[in-house]
Amino acid sequence: MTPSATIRPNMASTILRKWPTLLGLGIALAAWQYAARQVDADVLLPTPWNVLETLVADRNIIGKALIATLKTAGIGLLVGLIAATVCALPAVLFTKLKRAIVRQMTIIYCLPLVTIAPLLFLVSSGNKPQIIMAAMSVVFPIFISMVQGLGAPHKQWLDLSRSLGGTKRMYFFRIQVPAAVRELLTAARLAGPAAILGTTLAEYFGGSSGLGVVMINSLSQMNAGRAYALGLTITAIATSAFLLVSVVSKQFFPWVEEMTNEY
Amino acid sequence: MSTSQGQVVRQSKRAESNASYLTKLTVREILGGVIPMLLLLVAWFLAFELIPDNTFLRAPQSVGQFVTGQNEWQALLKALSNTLLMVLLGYAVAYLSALIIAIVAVSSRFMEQLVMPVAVVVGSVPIIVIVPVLLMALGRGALTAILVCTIVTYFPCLINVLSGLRSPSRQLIDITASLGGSRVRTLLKVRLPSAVPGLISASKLALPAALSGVILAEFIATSTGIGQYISFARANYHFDAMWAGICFTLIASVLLYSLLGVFEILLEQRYKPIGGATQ
Repeated sequence: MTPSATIRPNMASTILRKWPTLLGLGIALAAWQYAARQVDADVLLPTPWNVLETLVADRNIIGKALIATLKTAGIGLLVGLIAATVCALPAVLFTKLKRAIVRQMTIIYCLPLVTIAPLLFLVSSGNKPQIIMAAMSVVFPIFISMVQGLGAPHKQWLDLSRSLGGTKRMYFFRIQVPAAVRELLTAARLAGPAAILGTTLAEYFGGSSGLGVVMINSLSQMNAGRAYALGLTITAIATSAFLLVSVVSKQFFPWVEEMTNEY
Repeated sequence: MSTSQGQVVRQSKRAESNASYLTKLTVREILGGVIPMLLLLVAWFLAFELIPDNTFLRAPQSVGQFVTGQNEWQALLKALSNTLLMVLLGYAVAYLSALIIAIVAVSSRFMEQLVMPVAVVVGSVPIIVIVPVLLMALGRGALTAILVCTIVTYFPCLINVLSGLRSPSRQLIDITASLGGSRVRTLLKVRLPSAVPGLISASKLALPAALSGVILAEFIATSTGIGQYISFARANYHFDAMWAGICFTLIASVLLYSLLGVFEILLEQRYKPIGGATQ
């Protein structure tokens, strides 16, 4: 890292330094605007401005759906977290089983969730399918980072801990858990968006409320403006879930960043 | 003299053990796909036996009979190959665009700052948003399915290719430059080879998402391929067909995943990061 990166620059100089970025994003927006103008009427491809207008006009519908989706996603996240912990524990505790369990999970992860979504609506009712879907999309990233983080061998540290008379439990809590913080934060970063997206995916196939339901309805009504506005909302909420964890982790675990940079 | 001979012998031995090590890894990679599948089959069988009076679950044997019985497997394979064709084309476009964007981004700091944020924004749009948005803009044709797959896969590919292009050490780049290699030659001979393994591992990791994306597109947009097969079977309460479709999808997905895993192992041996840090 260069020393200049550690100095926090003020707003103006940041903008000056980032001008190619702004230029790039500007070009992309202009291209979108131009493409939308070329299509006759803005039925199929609305302009960016149209999308923003629809977003403001439909804020009540979208806001309500957003809250419903977030609630379901939250429950799903919790369920997925528990399931991932249950699956990861044997893999972490018994190193011999690790490979087999990881393999099994990978195979299950290989099955496209989309094929299961319609099934879930046959099996259960209410908003359970959405919750199960959110949980299923969360399980794999959490599981993998738990196994990788907690299961990583720290040979020298283990030797040190042993020679200082440390027990296995102390080794786990004092060495393996702190060493796994980086992976667990990565999992947290991935899990938020995954839960939201899993919920929305399930909502495409059924349910009574949520962003996915509104999206499917606006698709069948050919309401492109609303579909794009919903797309923007889903992307924004997923991205902010990601960024929120990033900010929190930078705030509370600043040393993790430094650790990452060593690689 | 004797020492150098000893070295030669040792080296050839190492090469030999390296080859057997590779076969071992490959076999392990394949078995790693097959055994969990068998376990899943057992779990399915048990679930069918243990869950009382279900209406939607079908036993593995009845699905097997369905598939082999009325030449249904031909229809299944046809649907599946349609889906996989979309995935393949999507990957091809994704590789191409990832390579181009990565080369542009590596060429200069300015281009990187210009191009990468847009690439990141496009890459962070979730598939479930991409599908309806593309459906609106491009209609219900194959192009929608292909582009869905592309957008899902290009971003992980881009990130891995980029880090691959950057992985050769500064010294190696300097040596190539001082030996008179142009930037293009450095790119072709030094940078691109070290980007190859990353491309394959990105394809492997992106595979489930890519398949999901294409099948989702088939469900709600194009009405072709295995996605259409499954949703049609479900709509008609033809559960044998539905389970057969799900099974075929899973098997194809696992086979492709294992295949890419084998490629990954072989290519990693062939194109080890040149002069870069081996983790």
